[in-house]
Amino acid sequence: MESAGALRVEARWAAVTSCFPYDCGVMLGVVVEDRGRFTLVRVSGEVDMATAPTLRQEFVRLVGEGRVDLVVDLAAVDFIDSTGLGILIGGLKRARSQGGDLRVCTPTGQVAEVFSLTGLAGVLRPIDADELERAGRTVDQT
Amino acid sequence: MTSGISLQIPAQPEYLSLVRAVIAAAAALDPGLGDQRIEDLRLAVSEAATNAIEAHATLGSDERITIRCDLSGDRIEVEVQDRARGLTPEDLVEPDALDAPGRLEHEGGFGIPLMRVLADEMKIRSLEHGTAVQLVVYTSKQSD
Repeated sequence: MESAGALRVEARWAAVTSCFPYDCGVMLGVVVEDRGRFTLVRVSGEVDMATAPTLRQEFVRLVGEGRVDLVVDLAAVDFIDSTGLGILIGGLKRARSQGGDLRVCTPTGQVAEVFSLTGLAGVLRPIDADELERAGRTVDQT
Repeated sequence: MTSGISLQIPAQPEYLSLVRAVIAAAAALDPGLGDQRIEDLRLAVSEAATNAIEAHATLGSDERITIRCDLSGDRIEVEVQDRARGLTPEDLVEPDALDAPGRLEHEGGFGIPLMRVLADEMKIRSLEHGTAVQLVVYTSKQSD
């Protein structure tokens, strides 16, 4: 059950193309779900200078609410640049400063490539689907 | 024969995705460039344009940024020209390699090392009013 552990789902959509006379579909999607002790942050779209502030605000908000065990799902991220990497590192430091952590799952394609090039792959701890699934199930039973 | 395009954008982050789309489409015109190299160039140019936008924002400049892309047979050259103080040669002295211990304590500063890694050549020129960053990617004829 993919979202069995989702007690609350919140979505933040940052439409950054409102000033464009055409629709090139550039958006950042941020969906937050509770998965047991983890807070899953599912990101989609492109993370760059235009959209990164939205993600930063989410990390600030979540950690401020005491949700410090963050898991960022990057499977649906098509593009990330140095600004986006900085946001992830900022989120990691923010979470760790409150006794939590920021872990990532399923970076693919360009995102995995940039993680590898920058050494970020060795800093952001990955989390596998099984562990996330187990955490979600734990909450369902309570 | 050289062919190329020129794009002028407002110095606003919202236009970065447009720059990436145009550069990727232009690079795809060269049959000698594989998907991975197009991806490399797309990110490198996006980083250069991001730096240019930041430089304009710092100065409060509302002038436009120019991106030129030339396909000249064995290489693709892209030049990102700002009309502010963009990068300077001093900026290119990278204090820490990307994989240096403790490097990730800093949230910023990934842009320039990424451009260096991704492009086959990276040059910077100071102009009278601004800075030009040139990024070159070799096509398969030259790189193999």
